[in-house]
Amino acid sequence: MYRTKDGGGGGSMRNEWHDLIDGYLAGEVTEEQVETLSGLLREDETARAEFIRAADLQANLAVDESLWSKSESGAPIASVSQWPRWQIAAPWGIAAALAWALVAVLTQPPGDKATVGTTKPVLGLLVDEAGAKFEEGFGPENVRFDPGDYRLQEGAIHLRLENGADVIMGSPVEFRIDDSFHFALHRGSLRAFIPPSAVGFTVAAPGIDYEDLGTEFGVSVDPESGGSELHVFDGQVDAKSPDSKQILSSVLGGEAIAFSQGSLEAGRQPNEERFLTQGRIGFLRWQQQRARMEGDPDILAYFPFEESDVLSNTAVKPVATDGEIEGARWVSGRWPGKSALLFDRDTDFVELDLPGEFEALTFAAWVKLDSLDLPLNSLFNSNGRKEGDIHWEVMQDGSMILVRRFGHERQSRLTKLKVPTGKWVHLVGTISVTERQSRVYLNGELAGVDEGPLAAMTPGTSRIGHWHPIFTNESHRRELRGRIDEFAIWNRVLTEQEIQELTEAGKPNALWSARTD
Amino acid sequence: MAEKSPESTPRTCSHREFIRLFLESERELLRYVMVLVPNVSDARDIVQEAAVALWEKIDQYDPEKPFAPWACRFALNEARMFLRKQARQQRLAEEVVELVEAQRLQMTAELDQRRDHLKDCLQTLPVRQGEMVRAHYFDELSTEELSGRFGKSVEAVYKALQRTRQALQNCIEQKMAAEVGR
Repeated sequence: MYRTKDGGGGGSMRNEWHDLIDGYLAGEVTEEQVETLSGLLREDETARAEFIRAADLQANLAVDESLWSKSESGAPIASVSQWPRWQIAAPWGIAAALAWALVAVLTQPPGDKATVGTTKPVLGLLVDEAGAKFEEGFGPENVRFDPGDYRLQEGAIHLRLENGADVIMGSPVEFRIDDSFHFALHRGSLRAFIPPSAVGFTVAAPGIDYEDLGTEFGVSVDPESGGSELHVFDGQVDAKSPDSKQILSSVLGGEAIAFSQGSLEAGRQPNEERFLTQGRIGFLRWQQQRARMEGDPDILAYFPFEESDVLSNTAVKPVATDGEIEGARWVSGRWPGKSALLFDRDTDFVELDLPGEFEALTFAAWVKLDSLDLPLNSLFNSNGRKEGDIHWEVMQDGSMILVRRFGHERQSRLTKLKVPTGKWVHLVGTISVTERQSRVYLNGELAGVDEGPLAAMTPGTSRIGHWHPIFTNESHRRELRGRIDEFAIWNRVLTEQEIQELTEAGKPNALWSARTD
Repeated sequence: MAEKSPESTPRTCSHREFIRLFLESERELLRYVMVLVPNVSDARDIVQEAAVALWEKIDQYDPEKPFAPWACRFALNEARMFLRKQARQQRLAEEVVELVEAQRLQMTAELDQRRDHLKDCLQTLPVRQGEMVRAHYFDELSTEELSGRFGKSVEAVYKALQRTRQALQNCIEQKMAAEVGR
């Protein structure tokens, strides 16, 4: 794309540099040109300085929004709106570390506001959502909620305000935020959790204000009639006249009222089902993620662990069979409404068949371990002792391993992350013949690397939560003690990015931290 | 901030403080990284990765000192790791990268001054040129997309951007020279 200038002399040498540098910075150079540029920059300090000035100019033009505004210098927080570029319709994509950190900021009791400095204070952040779609022009700035009008058309959201209040809403809902203590609800329902720092949080409905004194309540508004309802689950909410501020009714936990055409009707019962909770959002999020996974052409098995006589493989093109449940009991999973299987006896397991030969496999599961009593705790094990078998286990010290059997299980070379007990965690193992490597991940982070198999894998008849050596009567004690509420197997190696997205999409709630230290 | 005792170093930086520091420095970190990795979306990914490393090592940060110079070490580290993953033929030689990085750090004061002048120099551009520069660099439209929008061939767009960058650099040079004279 550039042309070298003919002739010698200092001026045209500079021109050559410019073209070469410009081409490189634009990403439009050949290998030969890169080599020439390397040579030039290696030898010539002046050329390096030119290069650096040109690169910095380009960088400023690309990242410095204050260059384009009329004001003196942009508020740093404005850069949040450019990064990451988040499309609401796409899966929850904020880098896990920053999302966690942002949530952590807002879960801390609000401290001295002066320490925040001169940056524009964040009024509210979206901390969780499931398939949320806002009407054009009535959505948040990425994850940031400023004062304004909002219209949620699809899905559900969990909003955390800077005073610590949590507001959960499902579509359709239309609301206005005046500040962190004043919401107006035009249509739909919300549930609010109000800590001491947010006492006084008020939801304005047509003709009436609902002021909370802590801790949990729901409001719903019918836009046709202008009528509203208040359900108090815990604590106390005062229903007040918006003009005179006179208290019309003090409603306590376990009570509900309806307001319509200027008159108040008391003596009702609060209805939990009508108002979304945080757990429900997680569950909704999971349901959407589930649909995506079931349709993945590379997925061999997807077990959503829905209570049933068998463990169904709901992949659109299943390769593994359904699992036969032996002994394991149905209990609750990551969210209310989500079930899991509990493995807590020596004879609890799920047996399934995964026929075929594979050059690469990925296993993923959401697991909550009760204990690590045994030297090896089985996640997935082929029956017997054959070449090509797969063994995915957690060792007593929390290290995870994934091997194709031929010989003993080896300890992973890099087990800096240990699987904890007592909390829901996302466990993933990848194993590949072409890569000659197996990797295990804990909550999206690489936890171990091991030498991989030399030949294809044939898992065959296998058990989740157990190992059946077949040729002896004793169970060889690898039984899992804990619960599993999701299990999936692919015929390829998932990338770290994909694994992190799965962790993000399946996390139990917004406060769940991937970090286990 | 917590006092440091000889036996232990309690976490000196809260989550909230880290977010504030990181967001304030983000632009600086991107500038450092883009000297090694000119592609802006790669640079954003790299700075995001660096955020994770920064948070893990936040206890090593001395709050008395400015954040960006300390943080840029991590960002440059991530940038170097990124470059190593690229095909050797597409990137500058490793020792050249080291030289460029070292020199960039020495040039910080000059580059910051140039950046200040850049804002004024952008105002002096003819409107179309300013629009084109903004669309390409800030809004990340490709030369093909610009060619459609501005009704020129891709080659003409490329040349126009080149001339505009040159004009900006000339303007900046003049302002830098004028400052010396004062």
